[in-house]
Amino acid sequence: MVEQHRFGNIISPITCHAWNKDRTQIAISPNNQEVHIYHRNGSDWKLLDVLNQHDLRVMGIDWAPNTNRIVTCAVDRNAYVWTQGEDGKWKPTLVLLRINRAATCVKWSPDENKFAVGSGARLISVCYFESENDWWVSKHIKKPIRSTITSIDWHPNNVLLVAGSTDFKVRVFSAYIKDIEKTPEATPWGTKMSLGQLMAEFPNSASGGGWVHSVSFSPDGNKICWVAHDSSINVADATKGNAMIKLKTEFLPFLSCTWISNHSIVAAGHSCMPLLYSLDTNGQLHFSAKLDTSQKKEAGGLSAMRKFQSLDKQARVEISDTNLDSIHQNAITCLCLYGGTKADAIKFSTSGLDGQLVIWNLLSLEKEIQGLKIF
Amino acid sequence: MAKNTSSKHAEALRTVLSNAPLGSKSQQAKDHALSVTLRVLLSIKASQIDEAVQSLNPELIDVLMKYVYRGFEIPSEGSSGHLLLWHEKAYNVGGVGCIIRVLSDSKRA
Repeated sequence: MVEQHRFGNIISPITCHAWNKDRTQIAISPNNQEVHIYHRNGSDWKLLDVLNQHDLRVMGIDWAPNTNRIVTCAVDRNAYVWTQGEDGKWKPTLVLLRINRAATCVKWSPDENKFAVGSGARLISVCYFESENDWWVSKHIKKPIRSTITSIDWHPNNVLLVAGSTDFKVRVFSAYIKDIEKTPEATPWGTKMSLGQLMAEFPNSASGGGWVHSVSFSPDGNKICWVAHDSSINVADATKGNAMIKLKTEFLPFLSCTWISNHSIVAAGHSCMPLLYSLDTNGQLHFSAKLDTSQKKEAGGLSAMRKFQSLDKQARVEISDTNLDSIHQNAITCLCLYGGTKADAIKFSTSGLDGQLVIWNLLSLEKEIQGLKIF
Repeated sequence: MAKNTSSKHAEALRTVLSNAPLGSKSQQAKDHALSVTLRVLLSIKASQIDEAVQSLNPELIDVLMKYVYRGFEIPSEGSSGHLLLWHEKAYNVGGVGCIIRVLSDSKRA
């Protein structure tokens, strides 16, 4: 079943959210400079801590599951790494990103020894902890980025990074830090992997345009998918000579996407419902299902009465029902895995401008939706 | 005879849409293509629009939508009403996605 949650009396949009390892706690930002940590108790959420260090709106949160550290970045151009003290309170450590525009997105690497921050300064800061100086330092990836980085994701090998940008391009970079890592092995994306090496570059569209909103590496790391503002969903495959598949959809643009297996993608955005896309055996991308099974609300037996009420109140015949026929009542901005990994996800969570958090169960959705085959 | 002209119209539509100079830097070429495309769109009768739209692939539906919106910018006698019919039929096939692409694509009609 689908679980719907709200946090206390917060009605503002949820900018983004991130879960801890065992999914008992969640970090959300209510569209301002704060990050709230909630603990789940059945269907109740208890506010544990408020991380109040940023001066301006928080743009990205990521929670490293194993080292239990939270990294946040915000429009104030700063990033903080938060560690939990003995008393359970979170303590910030400032990270010097050396950027002169807003930080827009942040992601821990799979090994959790470094993280990447995208920004409006047309660069990506790759940050790691330098134990000699007891200090987080950052290295920049600059070329050939020509606009704001909107989204980043790590390859499972802890080295490669995919970044989507408002210059209508998706790029795969190496984020290899030789001070803290041993030489990476070759991947289908290439062999030379010094920091900042451009491994691949994909234009979003032949007809130009379309900000890239979200990018994701496939669980095996050989494919990337991205969604952009031309309502498209795209896949590129390094094992097939960087072949691109583009599917222009008939929906409003997606804002977030993730792989849930090596051949399925969930995407969600302005159409307020998560959609499932699959790669078939021929490598073609196609639409599988709407995962929101809400039915159109019936006008009901009282329609005549409601009609006269509406005439009386508003001097109009039509009944103005402003509710959408979906669970989310506004655009979905963030999509996270909740159960399983990218290779075998069984649950995922979405949050959006309506201030709701929704947890979707793919196992039960597969049973519910006729003819749907996810696993 | 009537059947013949309608299929000629559909063919003309496919030809103008698939050769649309959307990426061209020459405004003159674009304006010229626009006037030709509008002539084709306005000469297809309301009853034949459905059939013509059905014969287009998704790529061309996007191009068609770009010309419909461009056509709204330079209305002539009765043209906007007719273009609204085109809009309705193209929307039925392409959904809101193809309207979004009119706005987001940098290669415009």
